[in-house]
Amino acid sequence: MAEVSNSFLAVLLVIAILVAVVGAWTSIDKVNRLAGITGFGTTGFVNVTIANMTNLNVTATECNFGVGAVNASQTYAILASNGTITNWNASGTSTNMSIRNDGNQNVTINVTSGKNTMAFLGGGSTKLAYKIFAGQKDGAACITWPYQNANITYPGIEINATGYQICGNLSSADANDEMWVGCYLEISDNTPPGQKTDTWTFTATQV
Amino acid sequence: MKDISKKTVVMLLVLTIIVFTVATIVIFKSVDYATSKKAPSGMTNQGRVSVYVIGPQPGTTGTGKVSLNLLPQPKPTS
Repeated sequence: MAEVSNSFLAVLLVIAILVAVVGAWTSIDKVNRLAGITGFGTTGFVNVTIANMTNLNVTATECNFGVGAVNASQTYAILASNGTITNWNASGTSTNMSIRNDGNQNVTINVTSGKNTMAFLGGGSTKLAYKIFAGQKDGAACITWPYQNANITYPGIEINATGYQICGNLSSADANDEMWVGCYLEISDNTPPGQKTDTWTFTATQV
Repeated sequence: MKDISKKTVVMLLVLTIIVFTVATIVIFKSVDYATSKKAPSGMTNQGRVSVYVIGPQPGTTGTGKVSLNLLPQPKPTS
């Protein structure tokens, strides 16, 4: 094989340079276009929406005072769900109701009853009362307690169909979202005997 | 064609090496940049991911019951 001339070498080198330049150019161009197709991005958005929800849960639903009568020779009896028993001939009494804010917003709590004192107990000449009282079950569940009406503490205030706001701002925080609600009765010796029932309705409204 | 000097050939070789080296570095840098910025599959540069966290079912009321079975007052024992 004859010795390669310098001129031939020069031509080959020029071809190599052209190949290198064209190769680099097309490679860079392809990388840029590929980035656009496969999701190359400098900005993105994550949008998290947490809906406002109110959810009131009555976790203990009953004040059940059971069966009993005003003691003989007494003119009245008092029963309350905090354990108070006066002049009552049965040993047991009721426990409190409980309400819990299971939503993610603070709420006000209003309570109404289906009956007032006369409709529930039917009358009586010495003492007669049908009341609601309430308190904090979790530390500071009801913020700025008592929010609106100091009479909501024991022995409470007469309950009726108009109702009362027992808490103006019940927290939704899990550790502080529960209150207890008590029932208080004063019964006369001449209150008509019989089965007496009523329903209380708790309404939560977002603050 | 007139013969090119050996010096010219050497210069051309050096030039070739430089061009290839620079081209390679540019390509590598470009690929690295594109890889580091790659978004999740299918996401464009104006993509949006929305997450909706659904809380408890709405329920604004609850009920409680009050009950008492009142018996007639016993007669006093004499």
